[in-house]
Amino acid sequence: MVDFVGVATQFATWYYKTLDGEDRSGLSVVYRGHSMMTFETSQFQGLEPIKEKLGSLPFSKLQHCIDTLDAHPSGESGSIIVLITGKLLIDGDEHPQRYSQCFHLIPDGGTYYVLNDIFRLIYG
Amino acid sequence: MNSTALRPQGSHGGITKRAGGRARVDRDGDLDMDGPSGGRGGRGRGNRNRGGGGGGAGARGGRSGAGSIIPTGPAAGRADLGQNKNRGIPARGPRNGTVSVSETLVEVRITGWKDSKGSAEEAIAFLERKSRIKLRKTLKQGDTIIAQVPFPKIHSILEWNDAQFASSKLRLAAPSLGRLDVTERSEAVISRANPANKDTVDTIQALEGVLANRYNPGGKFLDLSRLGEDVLLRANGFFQLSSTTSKMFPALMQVAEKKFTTAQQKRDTVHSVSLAYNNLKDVRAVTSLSVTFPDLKNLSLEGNSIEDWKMLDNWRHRFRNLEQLVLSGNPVTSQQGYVEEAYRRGLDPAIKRKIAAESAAPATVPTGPDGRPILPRRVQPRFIQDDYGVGMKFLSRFFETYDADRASLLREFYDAESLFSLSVNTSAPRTQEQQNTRQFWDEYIPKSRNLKRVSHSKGRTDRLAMGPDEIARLWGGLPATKHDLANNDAWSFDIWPVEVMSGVMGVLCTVHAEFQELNKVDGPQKIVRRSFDRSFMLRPDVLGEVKVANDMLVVRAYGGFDSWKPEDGSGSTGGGGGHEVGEAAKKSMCEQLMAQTGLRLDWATMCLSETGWNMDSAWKAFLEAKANGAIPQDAYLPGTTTTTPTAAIGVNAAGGGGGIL
Repeated sequence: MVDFVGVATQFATWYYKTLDGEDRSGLSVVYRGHSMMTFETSQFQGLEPIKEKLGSLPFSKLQHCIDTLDAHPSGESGSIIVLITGKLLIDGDEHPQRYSQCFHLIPDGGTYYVLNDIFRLIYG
Repeated sequence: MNSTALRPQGSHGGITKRAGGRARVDRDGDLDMDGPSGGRGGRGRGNRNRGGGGGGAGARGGRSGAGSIIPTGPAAGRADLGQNKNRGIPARGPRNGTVSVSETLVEVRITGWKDSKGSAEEAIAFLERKSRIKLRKTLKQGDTIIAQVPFPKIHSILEWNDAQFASSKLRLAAPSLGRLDVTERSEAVISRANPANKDTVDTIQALEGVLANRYNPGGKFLDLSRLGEDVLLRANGFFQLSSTTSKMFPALMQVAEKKFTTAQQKRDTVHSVSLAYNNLKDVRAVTSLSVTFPDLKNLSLEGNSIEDWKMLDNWRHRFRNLEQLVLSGNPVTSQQGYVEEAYRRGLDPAIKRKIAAESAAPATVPTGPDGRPILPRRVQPRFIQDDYGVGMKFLSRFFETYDADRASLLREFYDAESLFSLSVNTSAPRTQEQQNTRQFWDEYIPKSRNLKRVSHSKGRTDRLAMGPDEIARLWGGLPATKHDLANNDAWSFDIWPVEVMSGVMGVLCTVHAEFQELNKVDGPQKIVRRSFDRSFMLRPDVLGEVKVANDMLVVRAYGGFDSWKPEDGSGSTGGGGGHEVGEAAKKSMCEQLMAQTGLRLDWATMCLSETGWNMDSAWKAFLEAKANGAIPQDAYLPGTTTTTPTAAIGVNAAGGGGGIL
């Protein structure tokens, strides 16, 4: 079996590093045409809407910090479910928001892409 | 950006373009996928161009230029095909050194006989007599008889699940069935379609002939209409028994499947399929079409006998890229409320009028160059689809039962492959009132599988419970809980349809809510209030029942539910863009409200616009108006039961205002 824990932790580390970094557009490589994203109460399906959403986040500076991360292999296809809770500092605000994010990662050609991405703030 | 992919193993996400050949069609019009060698034999990765459909002709041209066809010959492309390794190897004759699938034995577990008046031996004899299948290597283990059955017969024996036997019911299950290898499944499907006196090799050859005759390479069109009149199928005896008819189509699809190695090949080769005039009453028999050609653009079901939408239910969420669906000539189109239902199911509103016109006067159906009708219907995937019902039903049942009877949940929803784990987030913030209370995590910490903290592999493995027994042990060690289902505001749900295996749809649910627990750590019992986040992946089992594939729980200090409570009025929190609700969001909200309430489109729209396009307010307004008797019967879609709302628990899903953006 693939090291799903390794994949999940590397994925999460890369994802937040990219999201918190200079160029968020780098994130779009992990989504596909049929990917779906829930960001709070808004839903986006497809690469373009997701890219647009990620590109239009009105924050200049984000800082994610993972509190918990758990990962399960799911089904025979080798997909992985990752459930993360953590802190989110927006634009240097000293009071972090708390969030929960669930990723469904699908293997494809030796790599993985995000089929579902469900993000919610859980303490504001 | 379409052709890039994440490489989690550390290498950068690069662009991979595949060199490649093209599909080749020989002089006889035969569908020949054995194109020239495709470079490094990459998969149908990189070059998907599925986003948004914005590209138009230019994008399409680019795709067909770069899209390669990977050779399906046994040697080429096989070495690094990963999960596709079993595809595309034609099963002609016995394969040297491998056991033929017809000899593979599958384990069947039989229970229920213990409650009957008969013995285990009598139960075995009963099943053998009824099914005419010999049960091999039978073994009694407690209440269960374990037997082996040759793979091709497994479905015939499972048909006897729930059979009456000596004043009781026999339960049959084949838990290992789901794990069988792709090739084995495909061969089994084909062998089930064998007409009398034919073997699998004959069947494959006959079906290959049928596909070749019916494929039009110029139009990338596979014409499977009027199969009942097919000379080749008739000559081969496919319609002598009614059972071979229903099994023929899945077998045909498996044979087609074997022609391709990659999804890209299928996309490039077949754009349109016609299943017209096959006397189809439902689409169950041909659901395999959506597995083999998930990216189909045009599908005609013209002139069949589909009577209502329920018959199309098996195709929910399939064919995500379908642009045209022809339903004319089916009884369903003359049904009352057809237009509303078509809309509710995600057909494009812009062409609603055309559908209306069409159901009134079928003669206006436009036709394509080949004289076939082309209907301008766009089937769009939606977020909260009918799986929403499956998800909500499960969640209601789960949280109603979890407090009182965790064991019954394990019996009902968990099987040998279900996984559960929990994590404790000790650093999550608390509400004001909880600021100075001790949190008592002692009962959770030893079970917590927070991978940020648990780094030793033994701990990681031990804390991942698999199967009802291990999960029961873990749940048994957790404090008693009480979930308050009555407080709608405290719950947040997201429910998504997800493909869990090729062609098998599951549901991903995430829940944020709270519970109270009876904690006994350090002395007297006390009630502790906690928040939790829980994700479930649901999938159907062999018998089609809902099972939990994954269950992940995060428990944290009580943090309230302000973050997902809808902000009344204009909860704008600054920043450009503001809160204007776009047309797409409005549409999605309408659909959601229609699904929840059973209201017709115009009423749902009215309800939402009067409540400022806020989902929760609209829901409340609906309940209120209903309680006051202010909603007439004709405000509902036909067939809607108006006595109970469809949503059992409050929902914070698509659309509404609020949120930080």
